[in-house]
Amino acid sequence: MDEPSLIREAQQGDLDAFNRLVLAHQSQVYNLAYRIIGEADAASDATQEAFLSAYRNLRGFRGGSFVGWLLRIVTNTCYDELRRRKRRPAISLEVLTETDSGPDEEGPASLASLQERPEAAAERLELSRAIQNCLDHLPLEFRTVAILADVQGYDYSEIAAVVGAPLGTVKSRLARARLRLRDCLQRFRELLPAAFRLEDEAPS
Amino acid sequence: MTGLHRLPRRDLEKLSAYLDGELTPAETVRLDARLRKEAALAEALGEMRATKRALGLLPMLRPPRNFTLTPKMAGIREPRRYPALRWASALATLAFMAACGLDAFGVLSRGVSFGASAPAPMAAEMQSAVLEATATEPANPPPTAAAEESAPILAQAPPAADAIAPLMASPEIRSLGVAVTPLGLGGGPPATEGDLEAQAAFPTETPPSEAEILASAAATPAPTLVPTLGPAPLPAEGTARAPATEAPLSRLPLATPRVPTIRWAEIGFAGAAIVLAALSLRGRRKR
Repeated sequence: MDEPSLIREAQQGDLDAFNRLVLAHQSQVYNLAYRIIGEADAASDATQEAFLSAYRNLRGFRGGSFVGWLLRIVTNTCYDELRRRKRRPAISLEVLTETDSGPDEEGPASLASLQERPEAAAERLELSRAIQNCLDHLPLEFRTVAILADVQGYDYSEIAAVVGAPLGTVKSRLARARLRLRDCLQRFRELLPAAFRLEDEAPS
Repeated sequence: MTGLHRLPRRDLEKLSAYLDGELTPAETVRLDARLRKEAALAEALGEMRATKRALGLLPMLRPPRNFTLTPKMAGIREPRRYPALRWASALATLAFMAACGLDAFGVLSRGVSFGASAPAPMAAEMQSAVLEATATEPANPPPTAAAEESAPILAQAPPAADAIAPLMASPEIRSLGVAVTPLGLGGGPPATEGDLEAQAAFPTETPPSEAEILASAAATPAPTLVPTLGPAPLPAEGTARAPATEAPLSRLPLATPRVPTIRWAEIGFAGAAIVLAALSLRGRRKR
């Protein structure tokens, strides 16, 4: 069944149809939540809450990109969570006990690493942590735009729909986010593969 | 300080949009021309492209679990199964309570209106005991053995006789010539249980004056627990009891033990309530 039909049935209260939409998009939604919050457990909670909110407000979906609508909901959920943490800061157990990038980064996404040397896998993991650390230090609005554009590959209009901002604002935020990320990644340049080293890049 | 920091903000945004293919064709042509001429601009573009690529190295993570919603999470209430069972269970419980109430009311009302004749069950009890003793009597048993055998039976029976015994034994009553008639046993003085039964079992061994005593005993009023004051003198101890028992016994109705209908109703309703409640709970757990 195609997505518009599933959406229509879900809007009429068909939970099975909605759950099929969940299964189709949960990876993107979870990944955005994880990159924004930076913690697996909190990202899971935000994702679940976002899907629940989506189901309850499904009648408010007026067409367009369904996944964009879902990403907007999870983005707002993550913002709420981060604001709540700012008001009541606490150190999460996950951060204290984490020795790598998190259990989920050892999943199928890292299957390729099974073929490589253990040192290479460790380097990849360390690089991921370094980039995530740079993202975590970006202002929230810049972070979301950078993740949507450079990690998840959405175009400007989709990003504008997700963050609820004009196209020009997205363009400006993304440029400034890249500038800050560039400064941050300079500290980890030895982790970057040779092809990605910033000083080796030649103008096209 | 890198090349990116030296750029004006407008050029920075243009380079960023250029990387993403978000410039108009005209803007792209103009920026291409500038990049060929301005080395600093080209260097800044290279730095930005490397940053974008580095972010692209982040892996796509696998969600730790599925985020599908359950009906409970979605706030969907499943239709209740077997609602008739729940109603039937409630009705059976109510009927049981009503039956209990009726039963209790009946017991109370009987206790008030028949208070004076309350010993009636005791009379029936004693009557059945005596009947049992005579029925189980052997053809020609030795008197002592019969007395010993029937003693336990009477020992169960005589709350009334026991209650009366001290009264009969008191000298005042004896001197007044009171004829106390224990229920179902006719009037006469108190006798030991052994004597009583021995005489009941073997009337042939009664002394010659028995005929007179029998006549006076037959003339005594209906058996009652209330001591009967009468002119009859106290007969000789241990002689008159057994023949006197036969006349009242023949007049008493036989009490057949039976469970009242209301009790059957209570049992039935209670059983129905328990079974229906169990079925209802089972149906709920299956959900």
